[in-house]
Amino acid sequence: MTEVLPEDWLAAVEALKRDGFDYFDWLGCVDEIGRRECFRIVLVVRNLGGGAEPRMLSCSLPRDHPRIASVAAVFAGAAWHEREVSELFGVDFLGGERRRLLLSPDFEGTPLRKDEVLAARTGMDWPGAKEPGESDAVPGRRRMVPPGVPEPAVWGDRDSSQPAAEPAEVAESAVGGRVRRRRT
Amino acid sequence: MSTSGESHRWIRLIEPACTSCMICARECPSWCISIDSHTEPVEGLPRGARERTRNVLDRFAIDWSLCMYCGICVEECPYDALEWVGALTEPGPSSESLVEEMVQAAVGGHERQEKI
Amino acid sequence: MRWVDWYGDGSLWVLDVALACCTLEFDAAVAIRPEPTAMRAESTALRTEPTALRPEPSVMRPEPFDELKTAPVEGRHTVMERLPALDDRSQVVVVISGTVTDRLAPAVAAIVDGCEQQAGRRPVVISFGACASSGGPYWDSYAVTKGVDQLVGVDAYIPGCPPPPEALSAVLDEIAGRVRS
Repeated sequence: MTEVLPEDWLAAVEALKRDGFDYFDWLGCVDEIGRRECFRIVLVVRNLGGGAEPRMLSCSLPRDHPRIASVAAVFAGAAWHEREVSELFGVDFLGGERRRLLLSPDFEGTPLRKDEVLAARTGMDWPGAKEPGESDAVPGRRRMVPPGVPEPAVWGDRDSSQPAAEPAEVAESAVGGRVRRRRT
Repeated sequence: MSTSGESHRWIRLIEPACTSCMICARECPSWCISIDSHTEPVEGLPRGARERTRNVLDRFAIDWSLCMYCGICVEECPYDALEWVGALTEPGPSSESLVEEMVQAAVGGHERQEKI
Repeated sequence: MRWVDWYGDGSLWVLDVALACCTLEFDAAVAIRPEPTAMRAESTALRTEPTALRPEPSVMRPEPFDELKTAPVEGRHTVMERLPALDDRSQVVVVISGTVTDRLAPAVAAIVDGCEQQAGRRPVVISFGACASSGGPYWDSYAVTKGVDQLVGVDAYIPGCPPPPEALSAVLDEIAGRVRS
């Protein structure tokens, strides 16, 4: 995998195509919150005739301003991949199409960001929240949260006198990681 | 484990084996298992013994409109209280009708008929 | 989308809204239909001598058909086959096979609406499989409608992921008032 700076992204893709890697395979995005404060854009191209290994390019974008050149002019097929990354992660592909691909026109949010919590799981009562020997919620008792939902101290039910959780803390807690929060 | 011809068609609760441990409800990816239980003191202990309680299952229900027949509940149950059966889950006229109550007391003590 | 003349005699017309994996079981149910002589109607005699089963619509043998466009959604129409002439005893069934995404939900509603307009009455709607019944394993997705009954009235819910083809055949036989001999 070759790491490229955002300003060199388009030129790097064009260079690969000139070198015979003219088959566009896929373009995706990884949210590296918790490890690095960035989105990693990954692109894979192949040389179908040459027998060479596929080439993988990657580029790290700051999470708060993720902007990168669109490569749809180089590979037309990249347009759909860019639209999907754009609507699910909120990445801005400069010069690319901005139309929604899969989400409804009125959808709000960037659901594949790891700090974005899956609302349906927070809204529904998790059948697994009950303890053995329990039928109704016992008030005041700490409940188990389902996978995908952060601990109440971190998100949702948290003590409002505490500062809001960092996105990285929300993301970590949602996958069951322990987040150190002072509890009063 | 049941043969491939019988699995992934319908799941039955073996009520005496269930301890209301909640593992199946917690592992189910579709959140389709609902369990209610309460605790009761264990009777007939020798004099002077420490009081012990046991879990009593009040409600065990599977919402078949959500179930994806993955079998994680069957595999995860530590007491083998869930098993595949060969009959098909019945269709119904409403999504509520697809919630199956499996605790015998809740269904009036009648064994649910399996249609082959 | 093409109509399937389920029993080969115009008594039951079935349209599949093929959204996801369950549609493969719908196709299997079409393929395992017995020849018309094996069926008998419980209530009334068949209208005409049953003909051979109409070959199932196939993308491998595209033929031109009489098209009907549904109401547009995001500027696009869905194209379905125009229903052949019905009589009072013909029944019209729409089967929703698969996950209804929020993006596609208006188009699914437009399809059922289009069927109702053609049939002149509300079709029987079958929710085939877990996704169509409740969202199924994708109930918690940010992009999934939790059951097609959020959009249209549903008459029969068939559980399964996917249900076996015979589950659909049995429900259709019940709707048509037929038993297998």
